[in-house]
Amino acid sequence: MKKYFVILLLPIFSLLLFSQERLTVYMPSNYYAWIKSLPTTIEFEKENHITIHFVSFDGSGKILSRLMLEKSNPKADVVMGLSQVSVIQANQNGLLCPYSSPNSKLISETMKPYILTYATPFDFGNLAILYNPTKVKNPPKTFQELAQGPYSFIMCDPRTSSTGEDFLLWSIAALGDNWPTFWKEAKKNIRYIAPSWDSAFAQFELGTAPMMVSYASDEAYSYYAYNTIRYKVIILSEGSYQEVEYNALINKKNPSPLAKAFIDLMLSQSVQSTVATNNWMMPATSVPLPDVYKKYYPISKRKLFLSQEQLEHSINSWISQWQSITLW
Amino acid sequence: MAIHYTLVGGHVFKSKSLLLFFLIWAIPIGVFAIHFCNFSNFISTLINEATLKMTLFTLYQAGLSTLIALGIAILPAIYVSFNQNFLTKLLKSTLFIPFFFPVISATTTFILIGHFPIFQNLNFLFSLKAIIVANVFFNAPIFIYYIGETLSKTPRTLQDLAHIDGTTQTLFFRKILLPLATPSLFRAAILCFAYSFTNFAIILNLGGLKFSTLEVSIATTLLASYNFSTAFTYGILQLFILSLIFLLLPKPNGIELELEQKIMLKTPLYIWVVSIIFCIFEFSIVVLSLLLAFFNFYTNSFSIMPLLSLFSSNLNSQYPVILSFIISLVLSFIAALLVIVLVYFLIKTRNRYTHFLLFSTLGISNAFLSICLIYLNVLYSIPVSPLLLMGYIIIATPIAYAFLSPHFETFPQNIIESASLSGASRWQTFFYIEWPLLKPLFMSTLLQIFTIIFGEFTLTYTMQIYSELPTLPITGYILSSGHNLSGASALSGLSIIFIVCVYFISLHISNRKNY
Repeated sequence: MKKYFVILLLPIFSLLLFSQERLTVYMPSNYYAWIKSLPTTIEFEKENHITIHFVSFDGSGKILSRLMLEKSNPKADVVMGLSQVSVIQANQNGLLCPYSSPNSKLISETMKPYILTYATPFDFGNLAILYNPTKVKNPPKTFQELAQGPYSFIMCDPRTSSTGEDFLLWSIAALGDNWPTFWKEAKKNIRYIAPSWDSAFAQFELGTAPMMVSYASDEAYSYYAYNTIRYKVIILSEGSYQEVEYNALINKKNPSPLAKAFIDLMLSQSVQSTVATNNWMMPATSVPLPDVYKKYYPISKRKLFLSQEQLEHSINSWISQWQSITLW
Repeated sequence: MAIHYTLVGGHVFKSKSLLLFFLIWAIPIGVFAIHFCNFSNFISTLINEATLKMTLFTLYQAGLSTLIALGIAILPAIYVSFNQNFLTKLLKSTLFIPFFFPVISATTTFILIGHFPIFQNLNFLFSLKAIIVANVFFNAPIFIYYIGETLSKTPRTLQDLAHIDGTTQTLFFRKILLPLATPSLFRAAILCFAYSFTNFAIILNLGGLKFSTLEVSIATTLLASYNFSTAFTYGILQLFILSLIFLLLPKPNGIELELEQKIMLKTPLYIWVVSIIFCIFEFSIVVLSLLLAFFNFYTNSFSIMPLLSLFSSNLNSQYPVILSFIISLVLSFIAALLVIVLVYFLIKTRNRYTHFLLFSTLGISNAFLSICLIYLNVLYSIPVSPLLLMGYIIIATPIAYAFLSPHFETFPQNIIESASLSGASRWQTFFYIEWPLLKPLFMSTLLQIFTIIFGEFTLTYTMQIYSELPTLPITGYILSSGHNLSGASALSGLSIIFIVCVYFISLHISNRKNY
């Protein structure tokens, strides 16, 4: 009898002995394959004898939704890729734990104003209009031309995608109180509202519309991936709007020190140097950019900005206003 | 009042299996409601103008889809009823489309067809047209099945008597056959309406978020606006509307007309032409879905490479195709087995509430159900696989009940009664009488429910458990949204081949009915 008892207990003991600490990281699906297979991440797991459980979501909005659902019993330790709005909403709901990474000193001067007590900038990018030059001979140069011009475009849904959310914010930052007029006029040119950037780009590649709201890095991507400028980008003359993606610690009773170490790791040079050609965003720290960015990354002199206070107070009403203009 | 409720409740749940099924769906929804239902928000959402517009649009697209599906299917249904040839078999076999053809495969095919120049000029994609066409494609075969089944069972004596009385063929059809088919037509219309009302993948992929139905809004509100209370309101509204509609659903009367001889009416040429066109429409989508599995979009040529690459280690390191196939296979089989066992007990202990309570669950939003299930994982750390199984059981049980219960209606009860009088226990009756006679029926329904679960998309998509438990339809969606359209098509084709094979095996088994 004792023999059977020992045999039964043996696997349980061995599991306890050899089980590793687990760090759960929530991230958008575009981070998943990249971060998971980074040599730095694998090395981090080995050094600290932990298993990192990467959980991917179809868009950063869905991450926040899961975090809200888990508020009373958080499962994640770290969250990656939260947008400026999501990070505010997460903090307002008490989901994040304040943390100042020692590696924040590596963050570039232009990104320093974006450092928050409860979240660390990871990367950033400028929104732009991506177009197929074989179909669009005269791309729109202003919001008005985008709305009234002959070309249709694809955009992401501001409710489900950070790209969509930032396009809405771009229009607000550029047009001020007149932004609803733009959306009323643009409605006829919106060919497809995609739930995420991935599905929007898949439709763009299929030729659903000759233009889509995307990122300034897309031309560089086109050259890098196809060795040719298959698609071009244009930043509207009103100015460029910057999207920032944040990493943050989840508010738990005892945040794991390894979770903090993971946040630090994401600001290290070895990770930041892979941002530009994996996530096609600009790294938050001052790491050198690949040559393709120097040639094919348009920069607007006029930077548009919405303050944290504006975002905190108005984002919900802006989105519901957008919804009533565009969807109904 | 309390006594009245107790009595009614006691009667409803006299069947333990019905109580079990009720608990399977009521517990997750109840737990979610306790934490997130807010009465003032419930009322304000209900009377909100946006909710009204969205509900009206949902009703409109479902109603329009049902009417067009009926318009398109009525003539082929008549053809099926009065002819016995290859075309009849083809028309009848379209029934696998609404129940078994994966929605995600069909929508991928519609997207690719939408990019053909002729359809691009028509602005087909991301419009109401695309939604309606896809809904019609999926639901028209339901009309053919229900109307066809009823009319083809009309006794020949009726026709002979009408003929003796000097009734013309048109008058016979109008005054006798049409009234006979009305309950079936009504049943098919309600099912078609319910499917169009609750569909998610068609609206999301072919309409886009621009077209918000209640089901899509539930998913969007849950996954993007984090307003769980509002999503709860939408979920209850959807359940209420569809429960009201299911109250109208005529119950099968259990009377089988003895067929001495089948009616053979001469069908006009235009019915034959329309039936052929209908077959072409339905099967062209199915065949195209299969062909697209071998089409390379970048070289515009046919190739088996995308199909072969599905099994490559390179692709599988990024997208777990093989793993997700195994997961879907195992989960679907376990869920189908549990559903069949549950449905058997539901049928054996059925009462007058069973029909309504089971079919009302078709009104539960899959997106809403999935978030309630995930919440159980959050609160009690229940692993996602049993939760997903619960979800599959809730979805598949009413369908399995609809497939199995008519056969029990016609099962020779005198054998059971004799066995019971001879002192056979319930288990002995099952193992020595029911199982040998009903084995082919159980096996074929098991396979059919397996295929339905195997192709299920909404539940796993909304649960966002891809990293933990990737299922095949979600891997297809991830491939599609991750620029790998050829991979997505190949996977979709592979799924169709698999599902069609399993479906036809199930038909083959069901033809071996032992009584």
